[in-house]
Amino acid sequence: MKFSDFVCFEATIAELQSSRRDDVIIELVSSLEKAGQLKKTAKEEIIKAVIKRENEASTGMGKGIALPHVKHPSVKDVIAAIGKSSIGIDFSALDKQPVYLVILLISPVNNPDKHLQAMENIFKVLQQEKFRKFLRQSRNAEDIEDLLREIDENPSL
Amino acid sequence: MYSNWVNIAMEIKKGIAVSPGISIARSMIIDSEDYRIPRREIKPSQRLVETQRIRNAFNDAIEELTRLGAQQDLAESGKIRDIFAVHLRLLRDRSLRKKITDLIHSELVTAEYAVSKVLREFAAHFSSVKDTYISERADDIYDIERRLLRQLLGKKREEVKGLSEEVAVIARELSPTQTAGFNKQFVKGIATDAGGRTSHTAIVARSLGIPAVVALEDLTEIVRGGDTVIIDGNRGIVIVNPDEETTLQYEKYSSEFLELEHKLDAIRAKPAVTRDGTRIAVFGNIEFPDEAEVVLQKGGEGIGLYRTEFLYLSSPTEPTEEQHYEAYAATVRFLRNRPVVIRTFDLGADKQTQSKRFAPEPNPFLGLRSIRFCLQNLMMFKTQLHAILRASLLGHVKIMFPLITNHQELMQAKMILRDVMEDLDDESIPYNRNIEVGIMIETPSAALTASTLARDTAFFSIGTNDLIQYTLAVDRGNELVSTLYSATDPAVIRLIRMVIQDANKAQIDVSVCGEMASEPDYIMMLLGLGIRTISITPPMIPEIKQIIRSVTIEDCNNVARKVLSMNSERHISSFLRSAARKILPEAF
Repeated sequence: MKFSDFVCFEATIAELQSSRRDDVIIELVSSLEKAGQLKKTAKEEIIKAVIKRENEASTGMGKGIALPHVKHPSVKDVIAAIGKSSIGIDFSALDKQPVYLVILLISPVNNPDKHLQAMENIFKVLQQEKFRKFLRQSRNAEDIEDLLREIDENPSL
Repeated sequence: MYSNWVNIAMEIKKGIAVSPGISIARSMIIDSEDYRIPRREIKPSQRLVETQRIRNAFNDAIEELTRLGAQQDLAESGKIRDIFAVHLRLLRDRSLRKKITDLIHSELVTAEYAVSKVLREFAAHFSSVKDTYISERADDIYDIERRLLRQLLGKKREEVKGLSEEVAVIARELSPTQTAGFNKQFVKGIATDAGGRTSHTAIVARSLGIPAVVALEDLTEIVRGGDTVIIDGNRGIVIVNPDEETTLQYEKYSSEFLELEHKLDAIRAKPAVTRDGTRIAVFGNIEFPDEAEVVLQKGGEGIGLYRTEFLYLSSPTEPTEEQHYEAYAATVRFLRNRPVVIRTFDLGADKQTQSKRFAPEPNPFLGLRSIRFCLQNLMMFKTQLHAILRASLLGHVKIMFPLITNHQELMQAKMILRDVMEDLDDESIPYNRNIEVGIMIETPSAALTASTLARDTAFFSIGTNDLIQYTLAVDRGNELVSTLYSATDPAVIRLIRMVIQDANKAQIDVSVCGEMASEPDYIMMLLGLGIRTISITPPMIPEIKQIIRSVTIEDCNNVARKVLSMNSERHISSFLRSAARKILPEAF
């Protein structure tokens, strides 16, 4: 699976407004909704579900990255939004370090395999230090889109 | 009964004993195709036997080829049939056969050697011809040579599965896949040229309870298919063509050994408690579901390490979730409510899967293996986790992730586990939501960051085999450096101590599941370092229990303290040996 198969580039937020976890989740879910990827009616429910899940166990996986995700019946396919923060967000990450990169993933309920394929892809590239560095250096949504499309074509940069 | 063979000299080879027990059986040589056949002489009286072997080999090869040829579809594989026809013509050629039998008679050599010599000369002659068509025929000759040698040296690997008589398997090296397919009922012993104490062949042999000796260097050049072979898995000795006296001696020794085992079995129902009353939990490591029975038989209190790779290694196709589930459920049910620690796939390096043939890596042990491989193959990982979770309600199941090298890997693995749990919720399948999740500590990086890892895990299990290999940078299967592989290296012992201390601080369980815990010499030190749970190969449980029951924790603490003050691997191992002998002379 490629990034361009599940990342909604129109919803990218190159500089997140907030530095608080819950607000960042709201920003990203709203952005997906604005981009037409989520039903307006589902927005609040999704925000609540993502936050609830984060409260149970943080998805901050170290190295400044968090992967909040949830399944929701209103989506037909896996959809993701990317947000970047230069000041850092407190995501209660495992290494207690602020998070600079948030990949929010909303997956359909009846297709768990698709979700895992997206996760596998994210795991693979986030392992590359180069990729993390480039991503943090990108200045706007276009830079991020370029980088992800490049990764799709050449997974090892 | 050995009338044809009495003239053959007995040969004794020394190797490394890796799986206890004694077997006396006819040899079967497997995977011997690319052998250089050494020149071996025979007594004149044996010429007729060797000539008969040649005749049989030719007849069997002809029969095999005819069968293979008939199986080929006419339209598509006309070429293959043509090749077979050429081979058949050569095999039926009386002058070729005569050349070989003449060599046996004139030079008094074995059938294998004669076949190899004549056919290789023949092939060399072909290759030297300038005409490409003719020179390419050399390959056909080599093919025929291999086919004949296969007939002479024993049967092919596939036929190991269909065995109907007891054999001792002799090979240059066995892959874990090959060993996993062995039927214990017929494979009575294993002896290989290569390998080391902790190679996977050794581990599998041990867990199946088949006596095995490895690192015999040139054994395959000495043994012929059908020779009588004694494999002494206690002393690391292999005797080829034993004389009558030796055979009798070994038959006696073998029954004495069984008696001793029997005696040790008597303590199986007794708890593993030190003389001063400290309770030690002793679990068994298993490879296959049916070994669970052996663990209980030997007095184990549960499964401390359920290796699950067999699902991949012993089946020709990728296992389905149902196959996973059945394998886990059977074991968990069998153990009732005793703990079963299921380790997720530790594939890669020397253990490969079917559909996921790994791209060859320059350093497989430092490459995409174990948990790393799982995190990049989430569908496979999910199938396993899904099945483990489903089985979790049947008893006391724990999950263990192998080869964790950093916190991020642990978090990724746990993240996927949680995702799979949510899938089960959506599917309304019940499971144990509070299943304990632990990790193996088998890399120096994990040992050094144990205090961090301890925050997000319910238990540690120290896998000493890999921990030693990665700490000392020694490939345990490489005979050239395997002597550097040592459990008593101060670096290894300090790392183990660190892990135990960090686990105690974080108040999580810590156990040792590597080979180290089944070495009688090391038990006192491990207890002295603070280990209270061990998981070992089932046949060793009674012996280790007996040692535990003979020591006091105070003795063990003293041993550990002394060891920590020592700087040389050699001093430590000789000190540990003498300490253990003082406590329990009869075990050694």
